[in-house]
Amino acid sequence: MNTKKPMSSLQKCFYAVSFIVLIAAFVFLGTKNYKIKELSDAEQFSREYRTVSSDNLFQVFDSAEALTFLEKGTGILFLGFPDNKWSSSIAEMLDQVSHEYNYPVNYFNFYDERENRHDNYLGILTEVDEYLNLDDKGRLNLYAPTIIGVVKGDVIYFDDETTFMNQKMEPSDYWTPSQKEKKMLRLRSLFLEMKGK
Amino acid sequence: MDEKVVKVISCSVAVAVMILLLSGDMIISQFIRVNPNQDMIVEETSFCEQRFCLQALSNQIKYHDTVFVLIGQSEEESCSQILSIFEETIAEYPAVYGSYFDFQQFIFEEDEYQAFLALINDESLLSQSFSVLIFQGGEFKELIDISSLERLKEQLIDKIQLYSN
Repeated sequence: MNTKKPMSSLQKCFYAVSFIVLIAAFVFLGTKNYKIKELSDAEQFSREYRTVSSDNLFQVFDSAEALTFLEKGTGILFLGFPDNKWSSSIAEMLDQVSHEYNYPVNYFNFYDERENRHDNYLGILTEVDEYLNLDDKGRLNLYAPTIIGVVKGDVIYFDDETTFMNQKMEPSDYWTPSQKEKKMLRLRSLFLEMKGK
Repeated sequence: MDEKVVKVISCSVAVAVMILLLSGDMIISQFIRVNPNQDMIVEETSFCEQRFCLQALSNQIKYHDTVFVLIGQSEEESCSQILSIFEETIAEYPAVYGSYFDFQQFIFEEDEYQAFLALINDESLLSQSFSVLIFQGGEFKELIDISSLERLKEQLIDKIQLYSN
């Protein structure tokens, strides 16, 4: 007959301590603030636009920085967001030309700001309102992708070529080698002008 | 089963569950950080179809030196045939940008239609089922009346060559 031996005090103590340690570890590890690796602007941009390598020259702006840049900055601002299929093509072209001229491009993902119509976004609209059209609700809006060239707060280049496209059109159909080359020429001309400022 | 074995298994399972929960949490947070926009977001505009098309046409004229725009009526039987000839011909000339719009896309609203007329400056379009509008250097140049399918390709090539020189 197999009689069950009562648990010794040592055993009870061992199990109790193990249980407490496990619970404590669970609570500690579960509530610990894991350090999220700070991404550089280039890495952040590359994660948004997978076809752009992480050695890119993009500088990621928030809305306040984008507004300040438009008010008094000099350089190139790319407005877009990664889920807009036309933004990716422009990002790739800007990446190529920025490497050729070793000149950075500032980037602002304006999707959330536009959805919520934050103050900084409205300020950005004011800076470029002469290039925008009122929509059916009588509101101005930015559309992706847009490239803006700015010299000391003056907009000298505003490019919204692929913001209003037929839904059936795909970027790969639109950006034929010939179209792409024309665009690259325009971008090179912009970068050249900006490098001289 | 031996009591010790049960306890060891229970303990191992508890530890395994804890590790899984913790690593799962980290995997999820990592995923969210890497891919913040998991839902597909499409570019949405607050423009009616007519104003959207007008804006698209304006952009084409603005950003392309030579633009051939076929305007027709999609419900007509010959439309697909005309569109096919148009697209095939234009595709042979990379310097020319071609696009198609349905006539209805411009005439629903008076304002849009007036804006459209301002672009082409030619009311004769009203009488045509299918027309090709030619823009160059941001300006309207001329309207080709498509009278016969047989001559369409030839007509287009003549005009492309004229505006390529």
